[in-house]
Amino acid sequence: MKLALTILSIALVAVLLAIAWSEENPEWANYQRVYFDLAQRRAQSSTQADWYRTQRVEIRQISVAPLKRVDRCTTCHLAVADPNFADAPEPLRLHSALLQSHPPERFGCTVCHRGEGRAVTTLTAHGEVPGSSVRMLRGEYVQAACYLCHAEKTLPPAATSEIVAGEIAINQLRCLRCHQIDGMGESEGPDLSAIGSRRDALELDAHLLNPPAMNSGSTMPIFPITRAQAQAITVYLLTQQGDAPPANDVRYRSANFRFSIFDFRLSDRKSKFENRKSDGVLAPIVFFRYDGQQLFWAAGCGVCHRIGNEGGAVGPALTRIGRVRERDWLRRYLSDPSAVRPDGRMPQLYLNDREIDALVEFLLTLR
Amino acid sequence: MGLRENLAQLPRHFADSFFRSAAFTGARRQAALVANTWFLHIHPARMHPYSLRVTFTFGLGVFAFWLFVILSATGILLMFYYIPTTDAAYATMQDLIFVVPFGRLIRNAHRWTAEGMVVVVALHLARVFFTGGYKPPREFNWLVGVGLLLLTLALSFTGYLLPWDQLAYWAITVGTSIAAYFPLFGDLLRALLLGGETVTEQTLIRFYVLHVVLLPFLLALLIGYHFWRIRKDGGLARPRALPTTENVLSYPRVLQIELAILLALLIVFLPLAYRFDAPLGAPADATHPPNPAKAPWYFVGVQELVSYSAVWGGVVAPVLLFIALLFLPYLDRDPRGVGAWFAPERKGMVAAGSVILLALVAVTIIGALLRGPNWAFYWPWEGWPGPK
Repeated sequence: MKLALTILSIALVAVLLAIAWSEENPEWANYQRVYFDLAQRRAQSSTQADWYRTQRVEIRQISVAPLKRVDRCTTCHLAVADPNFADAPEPLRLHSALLQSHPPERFGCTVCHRGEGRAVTTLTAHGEVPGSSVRMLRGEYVQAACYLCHAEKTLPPAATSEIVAGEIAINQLRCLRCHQIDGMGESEGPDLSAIGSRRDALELDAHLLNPPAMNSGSTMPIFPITRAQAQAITVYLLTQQGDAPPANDVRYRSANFRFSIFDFRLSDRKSKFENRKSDGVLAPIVFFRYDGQQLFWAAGCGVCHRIGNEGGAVGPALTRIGRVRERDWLRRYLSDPSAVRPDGRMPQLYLNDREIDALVEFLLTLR
Repeated sequence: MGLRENLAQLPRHFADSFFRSAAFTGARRQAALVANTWFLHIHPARMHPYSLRVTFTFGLGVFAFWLFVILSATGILLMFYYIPTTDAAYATMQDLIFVVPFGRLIRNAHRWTAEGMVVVVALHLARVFFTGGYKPPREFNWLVGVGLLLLTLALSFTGYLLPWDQLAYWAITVGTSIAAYFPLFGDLLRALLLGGETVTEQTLIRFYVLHVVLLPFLLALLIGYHFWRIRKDGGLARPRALPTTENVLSYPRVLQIELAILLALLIVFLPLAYRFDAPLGAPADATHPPNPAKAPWYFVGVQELVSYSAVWGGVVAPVLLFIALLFLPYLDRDPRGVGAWFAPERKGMVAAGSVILLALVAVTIIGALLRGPNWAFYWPWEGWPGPK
C-alpha cells in the first residue's frame, strides 16, 4: 500500500509539473519572441533596438471603456503600428493607414474586425470555433463594419465597393420577391432586416451558394451565382443589423439610402410603401410597363429557367413551353406553384394578376 | 529538562499533542489515533473487512466526498475572479480562460468534477439500492442520502447559469420552465428561483448565492451527518451470517485507501481538465433562443418526458419517483438479501429498480443526444442542421 501511495504521489507531481510547463509556453508567447527578435534586427537605430530588447513577453490589451471592449489582439499582432513590418506576414504585419483615423486606443480592434477581443488563442480570438457569434470579418468582408458607423455617402468608393455590388446583385436576383428587408419585399422567405446580427459571413456565403446544403428543408432555389456575387451579397447582408443600435455614436447611415437602391421595376408595392413613408407628401408615381419578356428576366424567372441559350439551369428549360402548357394551367401555376405541384421546387412569387397575364402571354409565344 | 532537550524533542511532542495517543502502544495506539483525533474520528477505530471489499462498494461514497472537496477548492479559486453581474460574468469567464494563470485548468476541473459528482452520487445511490443497504436500521441514512443527491443536483443546476453564456441561459430557462409544471406551487417555485418572470440579473445573483453559500453549507452539514450515521447504524450493511470478530484496524489501511482514491482522482481529472475545455457558448442573448434549447443533461430526461405529456412526464413521473425514493426503506423492510449485490431473495425489487434506472438512462440519452430542432428525433448518424 505504501508503495502504491508513493507511485501515485510521484505520478501526481509529474502531472502537475507537465501541466505547469505547458501552460508556460502559450502560442502568443512564441509570436512575441519572434517579433522582438526580428524587430531588433530591423531596428533603424540602436535606441530602437534597445527599446525592443527591454520589452517583456506578456499579454497586451487595449481597454476601451465607452465601447465596453477589452481587445487583446495586439498580444499576437504586435506590429500593427510598426513601420518596420510593412511587408511581414501575419500576425506580425503593419496595419493599413486606416489606423491613423481609427486610433486603436479609442476604438480597439474588434469594433471593425469583430472576433473575440478577450481571447488569446487564434481560433477563439478570430471567432472561428463552433458556436461563436463573432466570426472575424476577413478581407473585403470588413466593409460591412465601416457601414455600421458611417453613412454611405461619407465613405470613399473603395470602402463601399462590395456593398454596392451586393445591392446590385440583390436587385438582379430579385431576392425581395421572397425576402423582406426593412418592410420592403415579400414574406415567403425569412425577413433579412437583422440577418447580419444572427449569421456570419461563412454561413451566409454557404447558404447563398447552396441553400439546401446549408439548411436542409430550405425552399430557396439554388441560384447560379458566382462566388464574387455571393461575397458581395453577404457583405451587404452583414450590414443588416435590424434595429440594434450602432456600435458607437458616430453618425449612422442615412435612412433614405436603403430605399433608393431598389430600382423602379421591382413592383408597385414599393411605390405604395414610399407613399406611406412620405406621410402625406405626394410621392412620385411609378409606372410599370407590363412587358412579359422584360418581366421574365426582371422578376427572376431567368435565374432558374432558360430560354434558348439564356438563363439558368435550375428549373426546366422554357424554350418551347408554349407547346407544352395551356394558358389556364400556366396562370394557375404562376399564381401559386405549390397548389399545382405540392412537391415542386418553384417558389411562390406573389405576382399580381397583370404581371401573371403578361408573363403567360409571353410564355405562350415560346414555341 | 533544559531548553535544548525540549527543542530536540519538539517534533515528537508536537505529534503527541496532535494525535493524543502517546499513552498507548500497539493496536490500542492505532485505535486511539483515530478515535482521539478530530479529523479522523469520523472513522470507526475498527472496521469489518467485508466493508472494505472493492467489488462491494467500489468506493463510490469516498469518491463522491473527494469530488466535493476538489469542487470546494476549485470553486473558491474561481470565486476570486468571478463577478456575478450580467455585464461582467461572461467577461470574467473569458479572463479566467485566457489570462488568469491556470484559470482555464481550474475552471475545467471544476466543471468536469461537478459532472462527475452527479454521476458518482447517482451510482452510489444505485449501489446502496442494489445491495439492499437502505434496510433497517439504515432507513434514515437513506433519506439523508436522497437529500444529498438533491443537493448535488441543485448545486450543479445553480452552477450551470454562472458562465452566463447561451448554454447557461437557455438551459436554466428550460429547467425552470419544467419546475413551473408542478401543480399549485409550480409558478411560485419558478418565480422564487428566477426572481421574476425570466432569467435576469436577479436570477444570476440568486443562483450565485445558492451555489457558493447556502447549498455547499447544507451539503457539508449533511455529509457530516451521513458519515456519523454510518457509524451509529453499525457500519456498512453486510450479510447477517458474517461473524463480527474479525474486524481490522482503520489505521493505517483505510486512511491509505482513501488517500489513494484522492490521488487517483486528481491524476485522472487534472489531465482531463487540461486537455478538454469546459463548454462556453456565445454570450447569453435573450433574443436568440437556440433550437433545440436543452436543460442540463441530468434534467433532460424529464424534458424528454415533458415532450410526451406535461402533466404525466413533468409532474406525475418525477413526483412518483421521488416519493418512491423517500418511502422505499419504510415499505421494504425485508431483512433477507442485505449486503449482497442483486440478492436472489430481492428479485422483485432488483427488477423494478433496474427497469426504472434503465428507463431514466434511456430518456436521458434520447433527450440529450437524439433530439434536434423542434425536439424532432434524429438518429446519431443523421445529424441535424445547425448547432448540436
